Amino acid sequence: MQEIEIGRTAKLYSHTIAYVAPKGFTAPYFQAFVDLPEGPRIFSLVGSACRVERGVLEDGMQMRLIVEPVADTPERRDELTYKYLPVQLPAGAHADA
Amino acid sequence: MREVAIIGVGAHPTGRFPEKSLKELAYPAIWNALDDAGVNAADVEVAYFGNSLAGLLTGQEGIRGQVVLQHAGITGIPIINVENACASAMTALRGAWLEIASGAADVALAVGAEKMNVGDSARTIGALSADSELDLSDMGMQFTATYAIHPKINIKSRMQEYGWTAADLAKPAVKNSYNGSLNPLAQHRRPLTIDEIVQSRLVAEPLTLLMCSSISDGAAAAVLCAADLAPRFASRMPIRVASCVLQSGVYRLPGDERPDSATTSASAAYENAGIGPDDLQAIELHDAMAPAELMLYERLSLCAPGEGPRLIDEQVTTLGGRIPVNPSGGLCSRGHPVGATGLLQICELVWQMRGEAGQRQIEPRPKVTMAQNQGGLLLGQDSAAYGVTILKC
Repeated sequence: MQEIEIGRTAKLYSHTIAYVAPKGFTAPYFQAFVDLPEGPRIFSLVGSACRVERGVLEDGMQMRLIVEPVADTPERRDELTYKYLPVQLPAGAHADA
Repeated sequence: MREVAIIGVGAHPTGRFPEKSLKELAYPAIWNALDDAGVNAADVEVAYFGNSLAGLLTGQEGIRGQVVLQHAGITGIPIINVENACASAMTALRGAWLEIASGAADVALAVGAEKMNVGDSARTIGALSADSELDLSDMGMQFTATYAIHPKINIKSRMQEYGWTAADLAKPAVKNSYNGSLNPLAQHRRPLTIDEIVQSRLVAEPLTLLMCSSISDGAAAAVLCAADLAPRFASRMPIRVASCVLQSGVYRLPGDERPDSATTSASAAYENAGIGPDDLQAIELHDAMAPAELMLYERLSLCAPGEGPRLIDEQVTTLGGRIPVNPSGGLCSRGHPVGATGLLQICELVWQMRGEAGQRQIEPRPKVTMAQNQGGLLLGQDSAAYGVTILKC
């Protein structure tokens, strides 16, 4: 076993939009796998700043690590997790747009 | 190792049975299997009980098998409780097989039972999430979506790489819903068209509702004995277990192209049985989502990568084809009561091999068949457990 520190970047390996969500999560929401330059390919949600819409994400795009609450429910608000966001959100892809 | 035969099978119909408990689902399966084998409850020397969700859904976390089996008249003997997510039943079968193959017992019972309709589908889906590594499900992973994007399945990238269309993804469900329409024990008995499958509600792009297996109640059981003792019982036709393989998923980093456990478990089953894919005359496989069947064709070495839709187009895997796949209707039509599925697959194959499958009977009767069952989701690979059994008669 070897401990490796990971950086803040990743590449989007695959993604889809889920239209049903487990308790605590709000559909539709992105599901993704990202490739870390350090080796592993990991599951991740996409940061809430990204609007959930087809065509917003593209496999292979550069992503950056963010930390935000894992779920939307009040009881899990203090529970933080890693997520990834596109390094550059395409125009109109901001959740507030 | 001794030769092992399946001498009796029994199943409860699969579907929504809100009024029935886990016990009430399991009894007909157990009693029918014993009766089918011509075996008394007192002849059973060891029993394996497969179930996945009763702990979370009914609260009966421990001793599930003893609780069910004592009321079926099976007490005193070793009872082993088996939990292996959607592969629980095949894991139970393997336990029973190993008891006899090793010489520890002469007669063994394998049961798989699942009660999923508890009047609260959110709770059922929550329990199903616990069949994945919790680090994933707690983080918001949606199970259906993993079929779309998980590195080892990645239906979306397969569509790009092989030119598969949404219609191609629907083809296994069209075929299997027709098979299920002929199966009186199936949950969904209406043949579906490509259009209605593709146009049904999106669950996780590109997977639609009618490509997914649904919440089911059900149970199945098999009685096994040492093959040379089979004539002692009144079984209609002993079916030999030619191989019974159980493997777990293997962690792979990107770029590691060694075969995954779906492939290696099937290869091991072929090798142990001394056969190849061309020898198979019927298959029941784990189509939890319809397009998974296309991927499993590759993993079971039935075709080259990307050629899955062609096997259906050319009617290779339809009921009248060279290797019919999921004659029961599979998980999407016959139903997927998770901890019972592996033994429901075995029941179907035994009935087909005996020529007892009614309207969906494969002609001529298949003599070499395979059941492929898998379950659970780990961080590093597509499934946690893979069970493959090859039967011969």
